[in-house]
Amino acid sequence: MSGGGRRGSGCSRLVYFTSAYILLWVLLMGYVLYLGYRQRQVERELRRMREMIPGEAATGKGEERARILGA
Amino acid sequence: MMGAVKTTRASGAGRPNHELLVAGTVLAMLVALYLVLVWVPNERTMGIVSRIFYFHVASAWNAFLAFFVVLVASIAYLWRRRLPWDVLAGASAEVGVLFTTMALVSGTLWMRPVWNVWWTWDPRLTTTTVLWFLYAGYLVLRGAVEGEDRRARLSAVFGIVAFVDVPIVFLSIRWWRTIHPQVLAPGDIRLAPEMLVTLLVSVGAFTLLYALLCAMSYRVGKARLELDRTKARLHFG
Repeated sequence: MSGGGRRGSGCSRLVYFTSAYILLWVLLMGYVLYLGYRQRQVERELRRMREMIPGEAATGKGEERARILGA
Repeated sequence: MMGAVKTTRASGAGRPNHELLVAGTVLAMLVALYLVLVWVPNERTMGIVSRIFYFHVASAWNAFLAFFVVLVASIAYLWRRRLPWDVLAGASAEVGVLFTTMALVSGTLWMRPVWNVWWTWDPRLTTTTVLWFLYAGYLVLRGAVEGEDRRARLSAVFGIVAFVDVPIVFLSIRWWRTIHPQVLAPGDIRLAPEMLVTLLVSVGAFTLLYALLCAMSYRVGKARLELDRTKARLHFG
């Protein structure tokens, strides 16, 4: 851990360090939120699909099925 | 096999093991943050900016761990042909790319006040950037290939080949002339005891975080697989 290079005042270094830490935590939390969003989306779609399978012919959900499948 | 996967609680929330992992990770991260932000003294020449080091090394270590898991899971898939191994490889690669991104960003943020540049084509930085692109490409490949078996087979081969860059990144500071500091050389640890303790706790906390994120991503991957199969059943059933 050798140093050198640009020297800043203690205050500006503190601001720099705080900003850097916040940026890294935002990156990390962003991924956690993205995971949660993706999980909710997959679960919702899966639930809808499962509901359609048993009584599909009787209830005539052909259009809904085509919309979900992107047909 | 995979069709029987239960996905109504894909987050794993409510399971004792998951709750234990969440609690352990939060506790370890709080201890690590206390050590990094309060307990450990500043490095003499760099001052407070040196504290980014603990975040940087922990991220890099976990990126290596994540890609090693991708390697093991890829080999296991090719050997056993069981899709959960492929899902694990995909989940671990995703978290690995996140940690590599954090290692690169934290390295850049640390480098600027110390070396007075945002970026330099140093061997360690260059090979790490190549690593990031390799596994980002791996994720793109997983999203682009149709058919779960074909996707799993191609991804497994890619995941094994891409791992070649990990030892190159690790050894780059010994093989080539570099300005990247070599703090943890074998038999020669150039750290004060407080710094070493803080570093080890940070690495431990980030390893738990890796396990948690990988488990979450794995469950989402399994749910995604079941969704694809349900869609196929609707198509052909």
